[in-house]
Amino acid sequence: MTNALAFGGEPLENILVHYNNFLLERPTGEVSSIAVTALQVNRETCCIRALNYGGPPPLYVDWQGWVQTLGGRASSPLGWFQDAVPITTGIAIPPGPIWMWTDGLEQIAEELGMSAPAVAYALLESGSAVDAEWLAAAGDDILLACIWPGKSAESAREACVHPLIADEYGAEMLAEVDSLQERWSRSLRLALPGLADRVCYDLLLCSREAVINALKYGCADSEHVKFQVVYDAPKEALCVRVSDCGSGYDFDFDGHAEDDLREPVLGHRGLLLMHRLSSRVVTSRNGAEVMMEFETRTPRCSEFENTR
Amino acid sequence: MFSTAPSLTLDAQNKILRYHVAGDVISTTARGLRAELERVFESAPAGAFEEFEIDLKAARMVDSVGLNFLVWLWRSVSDRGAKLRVLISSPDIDRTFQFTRLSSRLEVDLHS
Repeated sequence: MTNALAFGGEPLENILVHYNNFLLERPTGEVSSIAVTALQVNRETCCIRALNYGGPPPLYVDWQGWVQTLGGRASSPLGWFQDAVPITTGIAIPPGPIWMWTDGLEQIAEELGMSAPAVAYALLESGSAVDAEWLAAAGDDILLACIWPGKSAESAREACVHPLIADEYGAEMLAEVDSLQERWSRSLRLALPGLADRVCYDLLLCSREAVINALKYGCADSEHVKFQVVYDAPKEALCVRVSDCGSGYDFDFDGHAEDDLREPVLGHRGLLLMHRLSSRVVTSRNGAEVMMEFETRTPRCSEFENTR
Repeated sequence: MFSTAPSLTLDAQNKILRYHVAGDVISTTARGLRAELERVFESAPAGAFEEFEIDLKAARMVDSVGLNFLVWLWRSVSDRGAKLRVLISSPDIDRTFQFTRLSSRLEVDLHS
């Protein structure tokens, strides 16, 4: 029915209203509902419009490398209410794909203690040969799509930047940092099973330091810290981004590092670790936003590497 | 006699005080370790030990708070005229000690 209406030139939002009415007109007592997320791509205007009725919001990576969602969650599925209103979002076509999945994927990610984007990446990478044991724990169907809105369906698949973790934490999560770290570790191990132990260690340690700093000093009671990890496949690097709502602070990192060489200092050691264990650190907003890069192919060789 | 903890043993003959840590030395554990050792040092008579050996072989991670704890421990032990030895089994922790140049201050034994 949906296809027929679409080919007939009916606008997408009207099709979804018809679908909602169709579900509502089922015999009394029979409740039938479906979560729908629809994307409308206009390559002439380079715009995308997303309409979401109760589904997990689609994800994409923006031009700055941040993982973004298309709309929030506060909508109901089709078939519940006559006056159902979708969450409608419009964006310019992003540099890479848009990832969409059903709530079955979020459920299994939660059961496994992992992030949904990491589970999505693991499934997409296994292609048609999905036989993972962990998938047997799925309590619901999983539908997963990776759509390149800027490319035709016939285009060859390109390496791109994949979201692996896209979380937000409130200040209360400071006490839970060990379990957050465990969740990051599990997510990375599933998504990138060949990841070298030392790269994983460096990323986890630096992420821990950055998130603790953000939660302690940059996050008021009702605010949230953003924590994201993406896998930049063309660069073969993992990129961690941490952002808080604070104003940051001036810090003479180079002077501090020099002092530490003369005599081990107490304090700000987390920043030293972040700079020395990652292959690149970029800060903005006075340090309230931090990006750290970790090469996955050839772990960084340090000048101190062979000193023992 | 000084305050003891289940994870603490004294080799009286060689004057080595050994302290075993059961897991990671990180922000959520380091403060407790320091509090325990502060009690030990406060009650230890001068010259009770010449070497303090901290066994971190069970640790998989030492974060910045853990490193600060080790700097504090190094200072406390040095102030007592003793030397500090750190036992580890993780090459990643060893690398962290090198990056932060703690290995130049502490005696670190890496056990594979």
